[in-house]
Amino acid sequence: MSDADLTVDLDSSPPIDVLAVSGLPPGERLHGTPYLVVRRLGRGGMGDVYEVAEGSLAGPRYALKLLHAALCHRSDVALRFQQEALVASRIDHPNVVRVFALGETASARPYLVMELLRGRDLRAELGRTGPLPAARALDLAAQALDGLAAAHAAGVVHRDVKLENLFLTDEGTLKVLDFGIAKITADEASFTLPGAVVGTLRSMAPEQFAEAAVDARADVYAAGLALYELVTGRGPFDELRGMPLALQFAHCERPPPAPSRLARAPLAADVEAAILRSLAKSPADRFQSAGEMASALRVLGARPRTQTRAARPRLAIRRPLGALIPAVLAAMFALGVAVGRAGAEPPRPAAAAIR
Amino acid sequence: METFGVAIPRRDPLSGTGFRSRRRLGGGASSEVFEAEGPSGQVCAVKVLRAMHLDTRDAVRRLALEGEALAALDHPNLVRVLDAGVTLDGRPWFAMPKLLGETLRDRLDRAGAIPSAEACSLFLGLLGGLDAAHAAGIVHRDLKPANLFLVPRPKRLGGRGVALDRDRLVVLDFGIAKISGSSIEPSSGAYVLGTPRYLAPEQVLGGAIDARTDVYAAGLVLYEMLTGQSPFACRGVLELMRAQLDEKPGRVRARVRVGHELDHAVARAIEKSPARRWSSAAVFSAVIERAAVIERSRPAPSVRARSEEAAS
Repeated sequence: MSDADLTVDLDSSPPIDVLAVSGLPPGERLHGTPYLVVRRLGRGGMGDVYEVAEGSLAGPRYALKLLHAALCHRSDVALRFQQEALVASRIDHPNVVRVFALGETASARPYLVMELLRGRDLRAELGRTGPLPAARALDLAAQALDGLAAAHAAGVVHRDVKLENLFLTDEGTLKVLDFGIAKITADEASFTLPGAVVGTLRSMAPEQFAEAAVDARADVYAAGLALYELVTGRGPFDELRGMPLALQFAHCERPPPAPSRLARAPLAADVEAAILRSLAKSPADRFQSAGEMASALRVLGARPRTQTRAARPRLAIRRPLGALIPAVLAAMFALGVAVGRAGAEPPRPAAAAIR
Repeated sequence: METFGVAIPRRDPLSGTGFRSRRRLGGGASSEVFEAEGPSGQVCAVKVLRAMHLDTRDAVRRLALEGEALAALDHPNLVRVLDAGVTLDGRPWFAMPKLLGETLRDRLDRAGAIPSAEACSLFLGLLGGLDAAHAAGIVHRDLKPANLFLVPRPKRLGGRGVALDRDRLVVLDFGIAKISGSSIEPSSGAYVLGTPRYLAPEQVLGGAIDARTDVYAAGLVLYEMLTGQSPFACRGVLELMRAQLDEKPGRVRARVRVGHELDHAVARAIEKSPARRWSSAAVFSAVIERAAVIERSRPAPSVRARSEEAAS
């Protein structure tokens, strides 16, 4: 990566900050650590992620997340690193990223050493391919839920499940990342500020906004949002971006629009029902555990495609109009079914055609 | 290379802004305010938003656009934005002249309801400022007593002793809600959400925002100036948002003695539907001007008499 990509155009910044905000050159040794920088993998909000080698370039490779120098003085941010390492030490599951070490460079910048993954997060995947076929989305969500179930079994609620934190490896395995704001349920002392809500506003369960007791079912809600977005290409309340109070009101009070209305390809009614169940306002009305939701999604995903009743959700929307002219309605229904059947024959149906 | 050999010093919260902080003046849910010294030694107030923005370059670009519009506003009832930018850790900041006085929030908490003639006069200042900003295409979006500053005018000694000139109301934080909210969104973390006590229904639902959104919030502010209380008694965040959408607010006249004109002016301003509100700050202002004539002609009851009235 060229230096031009890395410079920060803040005229007033002293040189040291420019260096700190920009990336490390390959071959650089991280002072005070056994790691050598191989290359930068990406930029995150908290820090950059590098591929590193331990000892020498021939040594084992890891992903190393290094906190931005500009954030080192923020205790909340440093705590997230510690939290992530602490949580990771409790979970051992193929669908959860492994964290091996937490350390500090010679200049007191905290870093995390993680399993090196090749692939992309689901936000990037969605950007690359557009909305996913339901079967594929169901499989990815079920894998994420397996990882979350393992976390829950270890007494950890993730609290920040979103496409950016779900990583799809090139081998097709989904890994849950970033337990930085996870809550250890057995542990009362979490780092939450008084009067603050914790998470990502657009993917937060109602009870998370209310600062109420949050349990595993908050992750079920967020996983439901992720699945919603994978099949429709957008979140249910995306138009409220940047309006925190309106988002809060929507998550707590407004029913999400039926995903079949937003999906590009017809969506089976029972898949839609499962998504909406995971998004119930009251935790008691959702799937009661990540495991339960994963099993339900696998059953839906395993069905032969021809059983999906493509026309049904569309019909439901048109009902008020169609009630006036039943003959037209019947014709539309027939047409809808025909299109649905025809589309179901090839492996990737209507999505491609519509796009 | 030295990058990692050098310890990063604990720095001034305003480092990178060109201002040096002298002391912290206060902080709210979403921002902190510092008394600071500018590059040429002038003393200013610098407000730093708490929201940390990750893509600093993008935030700088958007701020530059918004800051230009803000800097162009020159009106006695609007605080001037002297400079704006993004701190090294990605938080937008604004420099403005340091004002003497107190916020309307402090005043209401300290002294309760404001006599109607004085309230009208202060409020006309608010509407004048709003009108100028709306004309420049800027909607405030976050009007509330904590964002309205009462600057005392110099006291003049008249023949009969001390005559107090009326305070000047200055609107703070124009356009900041937009910068701190839409378009630039912090990623995950801890949030302290603001209060929806002055949030218009269209803001609760995420609908289109225009000048009438400010008319609604201004109407709620006037209601509180006149009665000392918000029309919605509830406290919870969701409860308040539901009330903004569905609850019919009581009339000002049911709580304090004011003329029909003024009572009606407030009621129209806080209609749920933007279409039924005063269509602009200018129209609202004309209505308040007329009402103010009536309020000034009424014998002003003492504060004690007013509170006894309210109690009975």
